[in-house]
Amino acid sequence: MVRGVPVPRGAATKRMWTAYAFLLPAMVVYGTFVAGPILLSVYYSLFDWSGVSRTGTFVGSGNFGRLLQDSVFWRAVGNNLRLVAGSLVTQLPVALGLALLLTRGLRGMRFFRTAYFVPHMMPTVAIGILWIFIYDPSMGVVNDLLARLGLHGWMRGWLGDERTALWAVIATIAWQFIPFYMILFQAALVGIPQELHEAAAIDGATGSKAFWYVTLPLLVGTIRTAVVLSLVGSLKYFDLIYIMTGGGPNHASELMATHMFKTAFNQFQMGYGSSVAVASFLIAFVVSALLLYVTQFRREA
Amino acid sequence: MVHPESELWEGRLERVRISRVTAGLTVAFLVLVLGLAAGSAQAQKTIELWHIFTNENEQAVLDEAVERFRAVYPDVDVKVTVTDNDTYKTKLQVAMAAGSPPDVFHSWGGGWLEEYVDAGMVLPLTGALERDRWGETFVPASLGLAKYGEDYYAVPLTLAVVVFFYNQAIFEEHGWETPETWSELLTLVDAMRNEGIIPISIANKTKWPGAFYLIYLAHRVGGAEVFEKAYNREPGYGFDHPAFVEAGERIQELVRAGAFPVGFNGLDHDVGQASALMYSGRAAMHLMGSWFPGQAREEDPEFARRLGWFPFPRLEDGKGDPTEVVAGGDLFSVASTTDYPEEAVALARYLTAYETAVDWTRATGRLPAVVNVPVEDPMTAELMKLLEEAAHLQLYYDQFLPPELGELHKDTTQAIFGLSMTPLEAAQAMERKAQELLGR
Repeated sequence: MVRGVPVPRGAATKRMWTAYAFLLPAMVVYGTFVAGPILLSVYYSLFDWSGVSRTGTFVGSGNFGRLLQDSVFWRAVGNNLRLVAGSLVTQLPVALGLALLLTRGLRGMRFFRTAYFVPHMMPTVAIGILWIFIYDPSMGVVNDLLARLGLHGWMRGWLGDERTALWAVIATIAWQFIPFYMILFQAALVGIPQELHEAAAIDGATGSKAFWYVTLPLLVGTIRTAVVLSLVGSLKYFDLIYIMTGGGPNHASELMATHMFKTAFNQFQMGYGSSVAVASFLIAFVVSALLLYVTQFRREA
Repeated sequence: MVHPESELWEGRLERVRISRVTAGLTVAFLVLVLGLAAGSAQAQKTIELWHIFTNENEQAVLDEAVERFRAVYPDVDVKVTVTDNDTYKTKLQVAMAAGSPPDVFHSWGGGWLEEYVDAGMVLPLTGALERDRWGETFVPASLGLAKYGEDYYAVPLTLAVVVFFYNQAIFEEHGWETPETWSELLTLVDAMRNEGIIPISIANKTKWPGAFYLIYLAHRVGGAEVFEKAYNREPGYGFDHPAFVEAGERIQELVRAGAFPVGFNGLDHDVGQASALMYSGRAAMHLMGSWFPGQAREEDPEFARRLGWFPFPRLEDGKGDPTEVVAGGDLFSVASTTDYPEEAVALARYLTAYETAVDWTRATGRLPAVVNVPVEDPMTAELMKLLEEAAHLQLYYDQFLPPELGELHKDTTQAIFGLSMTPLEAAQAMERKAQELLGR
């Protein structure tokens, strides 16, 4: 609302109702497809229910007690945190680097801009299957390349090895999302007024100095947005992992979302699966809220 | 849907322009929803059929069966949806949970179907099977896959038996014989490693291909009764029985001998990574269901001509009958929620009719679950004979057991393959879960 502008009381009420009327369709859609299912999951999580039978048995917090002792769930939480770290460390710096390169005005820039963006335009399933073949131990490009470089000791079944499965998929996820952040940073870079760079140059700030003292501070807002998006995305990540490793081998790349999916749909435990979903929701919620609080605090300080 | 160029669409656009935007959009949305609802109410009867036969030959045979059904029931539309094996299970589960499953659906019987039967979602077919002796047209063991209590809940079209398939050209070139015993298999694996050939192809991200080994080995070690008694919770038997532990040890023996391709636990069966190793001649053997030859014939006819098979080797000191086989079937069930039970059962009948089974066997090389079907292809005939003469048919554990235990069986077996769990740990984890689910 606009503050400080006096509005007659009746008109304000009317305007409020108009606002609500416009909000209504969105709220109905949001309520039906977002809020409703979340509340339903909370409700289901209180039952021992197969998902097919008409009725379940009320177990109260029983599912959550079981969750605390579920080693696979905790492993999944750990993997989600690795995914968060992996995404933040790889996606954002590389995306920023590419965005800087692309705003320099290189020859053939338009080609590179399109080429770099292609991964983000591919359907996830296609990306998954493509990378399954890239990682194929006997026919894949990765091992082939290592063999050509004489690094035979490095060759392995990337998706089948418990030590590398998660990291191999994290690399693919980075490949998928770097273009997105690249575009985000590019938009922000283009938005920085040229005069600032000129003024900085006059003061003797060029090259890396200009980047550290001019460009980067002006990108902080965008970087914060990117961090939040990447963090939340990593905490609820599902699709590529499901396609490429199915959470395996032996839960080595299990995420909260794949664990939830498997318990609810493969093991016929909709009730327990819902409690996994609720727990994942809470974890994602708390972490994002903390992050928002911390970054907000810094801005005001 | 309304075609953008149709009059109705024009009219709607007019209305949107005239009225205020929000109201107009809402009306348009409602018109669309109501129009769709009215449209479906006016249509003739529709039956949904879901199956997993993605192979072209298989689809064609089933489509013809549907056509034959349509000729007799012209007022019924059949909507066929074909889905990949693993995706199908999830998709059906979601449809079941939503209370709107397809009228006729593919099934494997076992503990998986039992979940739906217990939930009252599956129509018993016992009465229908008794009418005009329909039930007698099936191989008895195959009907048993979907019998719970006194009732039958699915009708079978085809059977599958798991055996080793091998590349005859590779064997002939090196003068190798197919192994009959476990030690012969191990010797062969060594010989193949020395020649730079991957002995056995497997893509175990999908987990069930590896599970075949555990089932076969457990039965070769201890015989069929170990599993049955463990499942029925008989005293002295459990899923931590030494037979299961030894089965796991034998698997690790193969893994350590380098029998499998590098990174096999990450290879995806559904995108063809195991068959690719066979087709390209990099791998020599493949433990797979009898659907494999038909699939190979379609994907690589040249390779299919070199394909041979041999039964799972016997264990020298095992108690199990070496003629026992791991097997399963593909069946069709009818949902109890169907609006047209009579038509849905009739469709199931056309899908598993003698005529369909004859076409099926001829076109796909897969084994019929219907009796007296002529089998021309020699390999199909041999496999049929193996199945008929088997001392015992063991349905895949993951489909026989309650789903939660079945999933754990696949997970722990994959971990055994990956050497990240000892066979004893895996067996004890299975037994703990079994006690929880099946009782002590």
